[in-house]
Amino acid sequence: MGLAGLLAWLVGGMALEALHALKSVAYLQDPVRRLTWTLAHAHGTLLSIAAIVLGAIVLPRSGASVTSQRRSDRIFAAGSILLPLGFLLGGISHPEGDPGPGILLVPVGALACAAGLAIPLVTILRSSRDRR
Amino acid sequence: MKKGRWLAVGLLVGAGLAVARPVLRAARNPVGEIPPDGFEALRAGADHETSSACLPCHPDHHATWAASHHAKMTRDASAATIVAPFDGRSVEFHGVTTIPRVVDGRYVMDTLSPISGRRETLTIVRATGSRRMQQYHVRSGDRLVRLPVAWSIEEGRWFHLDEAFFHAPGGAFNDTATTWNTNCIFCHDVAARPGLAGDGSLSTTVAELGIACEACHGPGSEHARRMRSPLRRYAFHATHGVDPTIVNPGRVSQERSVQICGHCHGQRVPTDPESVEHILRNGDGYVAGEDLALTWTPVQRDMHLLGIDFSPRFWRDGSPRLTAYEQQGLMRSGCYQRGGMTCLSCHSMHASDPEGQMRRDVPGDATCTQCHAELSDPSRAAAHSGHRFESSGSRCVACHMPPVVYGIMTWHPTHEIVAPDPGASAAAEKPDACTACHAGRSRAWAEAEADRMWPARAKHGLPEDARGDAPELARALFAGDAVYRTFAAWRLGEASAEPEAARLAVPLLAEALLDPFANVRRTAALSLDRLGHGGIPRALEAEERRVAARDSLQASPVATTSPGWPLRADGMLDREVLAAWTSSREEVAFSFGE
Repeated sequence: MGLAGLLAWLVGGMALEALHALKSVAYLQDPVRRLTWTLAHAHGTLLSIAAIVLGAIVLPRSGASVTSQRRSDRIFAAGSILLPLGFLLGGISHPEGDPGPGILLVPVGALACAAGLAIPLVTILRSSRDRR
Repeated sequence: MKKGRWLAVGLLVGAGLAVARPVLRAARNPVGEIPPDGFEALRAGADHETSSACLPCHPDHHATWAASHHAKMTRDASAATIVAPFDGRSVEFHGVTTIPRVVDGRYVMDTLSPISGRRETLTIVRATGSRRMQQYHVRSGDRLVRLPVAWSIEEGRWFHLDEAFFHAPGGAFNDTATTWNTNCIFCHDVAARPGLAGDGSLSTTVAELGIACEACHGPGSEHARRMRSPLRRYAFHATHGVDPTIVNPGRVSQERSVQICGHCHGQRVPTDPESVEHILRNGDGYVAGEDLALTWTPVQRDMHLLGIDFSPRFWRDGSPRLTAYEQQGLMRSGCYQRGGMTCLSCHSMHASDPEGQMRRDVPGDATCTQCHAELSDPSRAAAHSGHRFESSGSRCVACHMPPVVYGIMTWHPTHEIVAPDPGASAAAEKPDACTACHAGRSRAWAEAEADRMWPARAKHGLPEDARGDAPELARALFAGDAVYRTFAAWRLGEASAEPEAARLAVPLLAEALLDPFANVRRTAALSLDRLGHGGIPRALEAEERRVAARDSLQASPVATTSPGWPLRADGMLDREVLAAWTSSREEVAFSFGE
C-alpha cells in the first residue's frame, strides 16, 4: 500500500513540476490551490514512506498481535490516503481564501494516522512496562 | 481489549456529537443570532481593521484592490512610492526656483516654504496620487502641507498647481498650498479624523492611508472576528450567505450603493451646517451602508457654504463640470431615476482595469446594452446613433456621456447620462456632444444634424445667439469662461472628425497661449504639441517666450473655405472677431483642491 502511495505521489510531484514548467496560470496564480496541492504532495509522499516503515519495520517489532498489526497498518494506510487526498480535493475547486470542502478529509486522515500509530505505540509501552 | 474497543467507539461517537452540534447549528443559520440592537448597530460600532486583516480570506479582492489607484492614493514617501525624479534639476514657477532632490535617502525640495515664507529645504513625508499626477506633502508641526509644485505623470514633467486649477490669474507661488489634515484627508484615506481642537491644533488620525477596503465595506473588526470561525466561514461558503456585519456595496439598495461611492465621488456639504466644527474635530463618522444624507448633502449649483459659491463648479444647467461630482451627475440621469442604475452597473472595484475601473464583463457599449439590449444589434445601433457602427460616434458614451467634466488635468465623461441636445447645451453655455467631436462645426449645424437624424427628439431649441456659423469650439476658446476655454483648447487638439479643423485651430490655440488662465495656456500648449508643433512654451514660462511662439505660429496665412472661422480673406486671424468673442465672455475663477 505504502509503495503504491509513494509511486502515486511521486507521479503527483512530477505533475506539479510540469505545472511549474508549463507556467500554468490556474496553478501558479491561485495561492490556495498551490499551497494545498504542495501540501498534498508533501504529506502523501512522507506518509507513504511512513506507511512502509510502519509496516516493514515498526509493527513486526512492536510485539503486537498479528490482528492488531493488521488493524494498525490498515488504519494508518487509510489516513495516509485521506489526509493528502483532502489537500488535493481542497485545492481543486474552492472559495476565495479557503480550501474547498474536500479539506474536511484532512483532519479525518490525521486522526486515522494518529490512531494507526497509537496501536503499536500502546503495545510497545505496555511491553516495556511489563519488562520493567 | 473488548473494553478498550468500546471505549474507543464511545470516544469517537462523543467527539462526533460534540463536533456535529456546532456544525449543524452553523449550517442551519450561519448568520447567528440577531444582536439586541440589530446588525447595523453592530456594524457601525465595529472598529477598523485595515486591509491587511482582509487579505487572508480575500486574497483575490485584496490583490485587485492593491493594483488600483485607490490603494495608492495616499502613501508615505519612499523610493517605492515617489514617482517623480528628485534628481536635483531645478524648475521655476512664478519666479521661484524649486529643486527636488534626494538627501540621505530623504526626498526634499529646496523651495519657497508655504509654512515660513522663506526658502528652505523641505522634506517630503507623504505623496498623493499615482495615475495622472502626484502631489507632495511636508510636515509643519502637527499638520501636513501640500506643496504647490507637483509631478504630472502623464506629461512627465513638474508643474505648478495653478496649471491644473482655475484660480484667478496673478496668484502667488504658494496660493495653492493647502493643509492635508482638513482637506485631502476625508476622501483619500479611511475613517479620517482631523482632530481640530479649539486652539487650532490638530491630532489627526486615519484608520488607513489611501482608499482601502473599509472605505467601501465599512469597519471590519466584527466581520473579521466572526469569520475567524471556520465553521461559520464554511457555512457561508456552502449557503452563499451574506454576513450582515460587513457591507457589500453591490448588495445594498440603489440609493445606499450610490452613496458609498458618493461619499467621495459626490462633493457635498454638511446636512447640518452647524456640524462643520464637529466634522473637523471628529471626522464625519460616515460608515459605508448607512444613510449618507444624514451627514452630507450633495452640492448643487445654487448652494453656498462658508462663503463658497459652488455655481462655478457646474454648467449653467446644473450638471457638474468637475470630477468628484459623479454622484450628482448620475442622480440627474434617467438611468438612475428610472432604470435602477448604480455606479456598479458600469464600474467594478475588483473585476476591472485599474484605469477607470470599468467592468471587464461588460466592455464598451455592453455596459449600456445590459439594459438597452436592442442596441446590441449593429444595424439598430447605427440607426440609433446616426453614425456608422464602427465609428467612434456610434459609441454610446460619445453622445450620452460626452467628456465635459474636468479634473486632474484632463477631461472625463460626464455622469449625467442624457440624450444630446445642442440647443439645450447652447442655452447652458456648455459643450455639446456633437461639436465636441465635430470640432469645426457650429451649434447651428449640430442642431440641424440632430433634427435630421432624430426628427422626433425632444429638444430645447437653439437660442438666438447660437445660430451663427462660427465653429463652437473656436468661439468657446475666446467667449467661454475659463473652464469652457480649457475644454475648447483640449478638444481642438484632439483628432477631429473634421480634419481641416486641426489645421485651422493652430492660430487660435497659439492665441490661447496668452490666455489669462494658466490652465487654458497649459491645455493649448498640449494641443499644439499633439497637432505636431513641438517646443511650445508651457503655461508658466515667461510671457515673452509665449508671445514669440504665438507670433511664429500665426505668421503664415491659413487658407480655408470652411465657414465661420475667425480668419480674414488673406488667411490671417480676424482679431476683431476674437475681440468681440473675448468681450462677451463671463469670466469665472474658483478654487478647488483636486
